[in-house]
Amino acid sequence: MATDTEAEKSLEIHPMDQFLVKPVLGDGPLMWYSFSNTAMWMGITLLGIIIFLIVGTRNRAYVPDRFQMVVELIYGFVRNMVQDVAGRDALPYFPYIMTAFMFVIFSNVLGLIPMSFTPTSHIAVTATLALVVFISVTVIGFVKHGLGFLGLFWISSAPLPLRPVLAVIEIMSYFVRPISHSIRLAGNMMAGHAMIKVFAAFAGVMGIGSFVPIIAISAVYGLELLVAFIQAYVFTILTCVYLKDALHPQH
Amino acid sequence: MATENNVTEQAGIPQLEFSSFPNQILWLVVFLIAIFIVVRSVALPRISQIVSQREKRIQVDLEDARKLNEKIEGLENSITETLAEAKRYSEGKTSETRNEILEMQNRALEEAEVSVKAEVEVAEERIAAIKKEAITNIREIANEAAVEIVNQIVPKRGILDEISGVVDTKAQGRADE
Repeated sequence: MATDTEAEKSLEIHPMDQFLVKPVLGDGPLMWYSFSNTAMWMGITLLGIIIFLIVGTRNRAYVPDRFQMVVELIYGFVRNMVQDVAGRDALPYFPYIMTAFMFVIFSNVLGLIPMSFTPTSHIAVTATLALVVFISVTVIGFVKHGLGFLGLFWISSAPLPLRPVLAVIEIMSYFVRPISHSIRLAGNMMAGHAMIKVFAAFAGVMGIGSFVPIIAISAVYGLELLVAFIQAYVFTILTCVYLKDALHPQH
Repeated sequence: MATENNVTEQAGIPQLEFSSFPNQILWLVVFLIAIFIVVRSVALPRISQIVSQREKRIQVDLEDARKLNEKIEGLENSITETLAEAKRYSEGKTSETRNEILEMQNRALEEAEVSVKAEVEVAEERIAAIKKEAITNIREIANEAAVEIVNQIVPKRGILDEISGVVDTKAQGRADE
């Protein structure tokens, strides 16, 4: 009976514990200003970005080494994405989009280190990012085009009777953007990490058969690495699409 | 430990723990601004400078390569023209020399022909003179021999004059031949 209880205890899985926001220093309650694990890993993200971008380009070489080549590759990738998706007139906003991309990709990838924390798995973080994008592009749209920005919702190529209906759908779709933008990223990050934690808990109690969940963890880890890059790309390209709508609202 | 247990019990879905939102948003804003400053003020200008300098360098190198290529093409054309000119010159020179040689050859042949002709004429003249002299001598010898023979056989003056006339006539006919 005692053994059963022990087994039940050992099978307790808390896959969501890894997402708890806790103060790093002390056991006190989490205050709005506490230096939490979220803050620490955001700081590590900042450090990683500095090392990547600044140290990677320290030589300023005409013929780049591998490190500098990767930095230039990322720079060219994001810059081309902004230019191709949102147009040349979106290039002044490139630093903002590069900031979002670097933050998301570094948070995602650093979150894959065992025992680490993934800020982008939290809806508070991704929703703030998405709201910043949403509010920014809306402001840019109105500043650039005034009330002409509302043309984004008026599909002039559709038959006239359908236009009001489509306008309602377009407006709803526009306001759903920050929700889908944020939940997509947070959901993907959370799901993969939780799944790895579940497999890890299985590995802890399966004894000799634990190689099965370990293989599964390895496979899921590879997939998560891919998801980390893909989600950063998706978040950035959607930002570019929204920016394009703000800069060119005409249908 | 108790606190940790409490936290675990509270866990549920930590993403929906609204009390942690202000903390997360605060630090997100702080670090996003920090990342933005690093990206905009340091990283992007540096990478942009590296890339643009490289592009400029590539453009300059390509321009230099294009100029060198043009120069090479010019040199190739110049060499081809020089070669063609040299070929034309050598062909002209060869033809001129051949003509000169032919001319010299013809002139030498003409001179040789003239010289041979003159020598032949001189020789013919000499032969004719020798022949004439020889015939004259033969007539005198024959005349004397005939007179001597006749004197030995017939000692008569009229016959001798007749024989001498016949011999002269015959000798004259030979000389004419």
